[in-house]
Amino acid sequence: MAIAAAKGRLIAVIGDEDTCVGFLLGGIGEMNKNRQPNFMVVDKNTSISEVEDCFKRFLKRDDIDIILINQNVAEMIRHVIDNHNEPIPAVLEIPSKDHPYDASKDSILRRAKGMFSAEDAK
Amino acid sequence: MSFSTLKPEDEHGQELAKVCVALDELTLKQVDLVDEQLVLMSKLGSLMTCGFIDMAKSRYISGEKTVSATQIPGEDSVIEAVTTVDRDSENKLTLSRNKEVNDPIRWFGLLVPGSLKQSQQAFQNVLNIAVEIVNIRREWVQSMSALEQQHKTLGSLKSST
Repeated sequence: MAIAAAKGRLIAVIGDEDTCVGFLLGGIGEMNKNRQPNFMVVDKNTSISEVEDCFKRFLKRDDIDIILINQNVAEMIRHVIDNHNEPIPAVLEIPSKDHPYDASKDSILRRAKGMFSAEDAK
Repeated sequence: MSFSTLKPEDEHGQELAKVCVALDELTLKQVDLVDEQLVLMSKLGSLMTCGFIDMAKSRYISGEKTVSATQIPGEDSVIEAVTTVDRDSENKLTLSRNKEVNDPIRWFGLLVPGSLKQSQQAFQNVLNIAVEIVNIRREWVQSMSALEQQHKTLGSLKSST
C-alpha cells in the first residue's frame, strides 16, 4: 500500500444529506477506481442493515483512518460501534442538524464510566 | 486505603505511596483529557451549525436543488480527496490538503454564492477540530490503560498486606 501511504489516508463520513454535503465540500470525498465512495448519505428510507454494512465496509478498508458518523445514525448501529475496539480507524460521533451531541451516548466516553466506579474511591 | 495507614519507612508502604501518586496523576490527566474533548466537541458542534446555516443561505440564493447530494459526482466518475490525514510514527494524525485536486465547490456550479464558500470554510475548520479530538482520544485511551494497570498494582499491593 505504498501509494495509499503517500497519498494520505481518508476520512469517511456516514450521515444525513447536509452533513455529507458539508464534509464533501470540505474536501474529504473520494470515489476510487473500484467505485467505492468513502461517504454514505443516510435518509429516512435507509435501513439499519444498509448502514451497518457500510460501516463494516469502512472498518475493513485500510485506507480509512477516521470515520465520522452522525450520533443519531450511530444510535441505529450502536452494538456494532460498541464492538469496535481498535484504535484505527477512529470512530468519531458528531452532532447533526437536528440532533445535538450527547456525550452520555458516545461509545468511547461511556467506556470511561466504569473506570471511575465507587469501588476506586475506597 | 487511606494515606494515614502508610508507613513511609516501610518499603511496602513506600511502594504503595508511589502507586497512589501515579494514580492521582493519571486520574487528573484523564479528567483533563475528557474536558478537552468535550470543549472541542461543543466547538465542533457550533461550527457545524454555522456551516449548515451558510449552506441554507446559499440554497436560498441559488435555489434549493443547487446544494444537495445529487450534485455530488456519481459512481461513474473518480473523485480524489482534497483533504486527507497523515499518520506519524506515534500514530498522531495531521490534516493535509492537496492543492492540485479540483475544488469540490465546483460541483455546485461555477459562480457559487459567497455563503457556500463560508460553509466550506466552516467544514474545513470542523475537520481540523475532528482530527484534534481523535488525537486527544488516542492519548486518553492510552492513559486509561495505564490507569487500569496502576489499579491492578494497587490491588495486588493491598492484598499482600
